Amino acid sequence: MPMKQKKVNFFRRDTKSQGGFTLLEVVASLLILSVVFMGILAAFQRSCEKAQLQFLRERAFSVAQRHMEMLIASHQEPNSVGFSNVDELDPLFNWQLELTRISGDSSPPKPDLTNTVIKATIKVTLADADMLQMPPLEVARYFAWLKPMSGAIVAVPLTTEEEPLWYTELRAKLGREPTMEEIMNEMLKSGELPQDLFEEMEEQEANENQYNDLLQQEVSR
Amino acid sequence: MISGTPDKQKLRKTKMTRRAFSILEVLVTLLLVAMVVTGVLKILNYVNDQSEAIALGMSQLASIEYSLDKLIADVSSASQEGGQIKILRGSYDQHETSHLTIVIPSGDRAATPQLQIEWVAVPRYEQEDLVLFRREKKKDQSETAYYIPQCENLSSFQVEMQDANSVSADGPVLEAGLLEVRAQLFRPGSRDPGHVTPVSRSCCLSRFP
Repeated sequence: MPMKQKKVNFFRRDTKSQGGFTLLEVVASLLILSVVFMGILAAFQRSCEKAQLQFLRERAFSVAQRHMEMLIASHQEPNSVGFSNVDELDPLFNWQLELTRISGDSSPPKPDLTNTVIKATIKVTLADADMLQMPPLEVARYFAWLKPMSGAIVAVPLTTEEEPLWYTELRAKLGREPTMEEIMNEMLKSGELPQDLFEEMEEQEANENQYNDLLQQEVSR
Repeated sequence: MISGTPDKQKLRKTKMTRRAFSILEVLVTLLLVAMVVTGVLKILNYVNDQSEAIALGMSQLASIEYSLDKLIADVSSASQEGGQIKILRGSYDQHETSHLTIVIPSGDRAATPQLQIEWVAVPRYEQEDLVLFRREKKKDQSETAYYIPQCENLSSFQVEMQDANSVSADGPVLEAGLLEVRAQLFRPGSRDPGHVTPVSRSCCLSRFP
């Protein structure tokens, strides 16, 4: 005998099951609604923060641009005080100037530094880091030259010195890092270290050894 | 005691167990609904306030930034054409202001008249703020040249020119002239001088011939 299927009418309620929602169902649905609205609020909060961040970045850019224009106008390598500070016009920000000398092409820097340029980077950060997580804003510009600070011969000297050729060859020959004695001998051979200075250093070392021996004897007594 | 046929007994039992919400259930539910609705309305109100404040702040900032960029563009065009810059400084009701006049001379061609561009910030009636105006006037212009408002809600507007070989505020001697334009913008809905947004533009005049 074929089973008779029950017809379901979505528009007419079944009078027999007219029990309504239980309190638990109502509370659960309200809870879900609250969670959804909390999510919407969190998303809005994030978009507000993004807008505020953009607002701050524009202000930070003004700070960086002003200090860069000052450097362009003065063409002067600043002294140690002029490398970082709180901005006097917008104290919400700290600014920092970084000057590095880099090679203008792939060749190593020439002794007269003619093939190098000075890269100036102004980095602006929020003075109060807890306020908002703003990544540092950087504005960079290249200078062919800058006036050195008083007492210096050249502005932004090269900080990293190239390894001498003899040192590279000595290391390759030994197959390890050379000891101090080996370095001294090699420098003496190549003429980088004058003979009299070498003798003076040896004498000084002998004196130090003698003093250490005496000290050792004194301690053992 | 229930009497009758089994069908009738079932119907009576159903009718007896079909009960409505108790007053406590209704009250708790109403309280929860009220809390949720209040929360939602507060969120909407907060969202609305925040959106308005952000939109107003951004539009005012964009307005002053656009104006200052335009001022720098005027100065750069004057520098390229051998123009002159004159700055007058003053203050209205503790609002520092400046009057910048840029005079661009006639070009080689006679058809190009002398041009005078003015930037000035003046206080607004009963608003306790400054409004920045720009006026462009040609020498041979017979009709009146109007001051056109560029942006409002300013606390101060300062134009400063540091000449070449002068010592800047930070110390180094300047090789070239430096024009600095500084403005302070009131936060939306505030007239507190302590709550302002600084906006500035600097321009080194060595960029121009």
